[in-house]
Amino acid sequence: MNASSNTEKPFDPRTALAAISTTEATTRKALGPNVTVLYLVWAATYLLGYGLLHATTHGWITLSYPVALLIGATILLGAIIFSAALGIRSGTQIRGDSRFAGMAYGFSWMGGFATVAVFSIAFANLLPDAPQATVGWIINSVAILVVSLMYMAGAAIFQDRPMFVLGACFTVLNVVGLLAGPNLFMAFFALGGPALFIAAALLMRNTSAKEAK
Amino acid sequence: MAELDPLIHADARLRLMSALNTLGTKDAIAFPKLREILGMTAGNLSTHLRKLEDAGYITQEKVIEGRTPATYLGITPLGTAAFDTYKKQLLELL
Repeated sequence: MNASSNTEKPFDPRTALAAISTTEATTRKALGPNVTVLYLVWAATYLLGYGLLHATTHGWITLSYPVALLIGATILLGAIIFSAALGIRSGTQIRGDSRFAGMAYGFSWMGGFATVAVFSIAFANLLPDAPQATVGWIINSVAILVVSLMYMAGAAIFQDRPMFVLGACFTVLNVVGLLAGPNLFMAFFALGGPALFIAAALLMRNTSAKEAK
Repeated sequence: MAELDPLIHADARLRLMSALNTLGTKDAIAFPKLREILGMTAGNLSTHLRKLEDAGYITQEKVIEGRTPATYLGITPLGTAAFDTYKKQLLELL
């Protein structure tokens, strides 16, 4: 590409622009976590977690509700640890504003979910005689509210339009879950959540593939 | 049309500037990670970085992380402007 080597090979601006695009795509991939994998992990988490709770509530499987809740919480914790590890690993060897933004965003997720966990206990204690499904319905609507707001806030921070759409879709799903009532909301979350995450994962994979071309 | 910037025009430096421009002026990347992204040898990368630093297109900051010295590289506003101009010129050539 150097002017001095032009006698051997004529300079092609298309080749140079392609080299720029490829490097930009490689750099973006190296700087952030693998969002496709992240979304697929969360799709599986929603399907298993909410699916298990729904199946237990409706007597489809012989498991007590507290045990199902414990298994669901373990699955959730596993997904949180995996996401945090992926985020931390992608931020290593980077200094500056984006690292701070990523760290602040990660801590915001943790703060949000810690609050939801405390709210869950407080709310369950407040209404000890209320049906488990009703308590779960309200607690999970608050959890999904945090999820949808965090995705929309993340979209604003990282200028990520698909992330905003994901957050907006979770808001709609949450409203649908609230309207559906205590008996059906988990089915909506168990099916709607994974559907949204898989759609987002496919969108991210296609976008990355286009950028790399 | 003005001549293409010879500092960016070399393939290795073009890719280097593309990577740092993607990172933006508010962030810096460690030397090993940049080398991994570009798939260049340490010696080759250092040579090109020095040329770009001399032109004021990039900055090299040496820091101590724990007990290990590390070099962080970032693009300057001058470098971003030069890279943008280079890209515009390429598009005009099409």
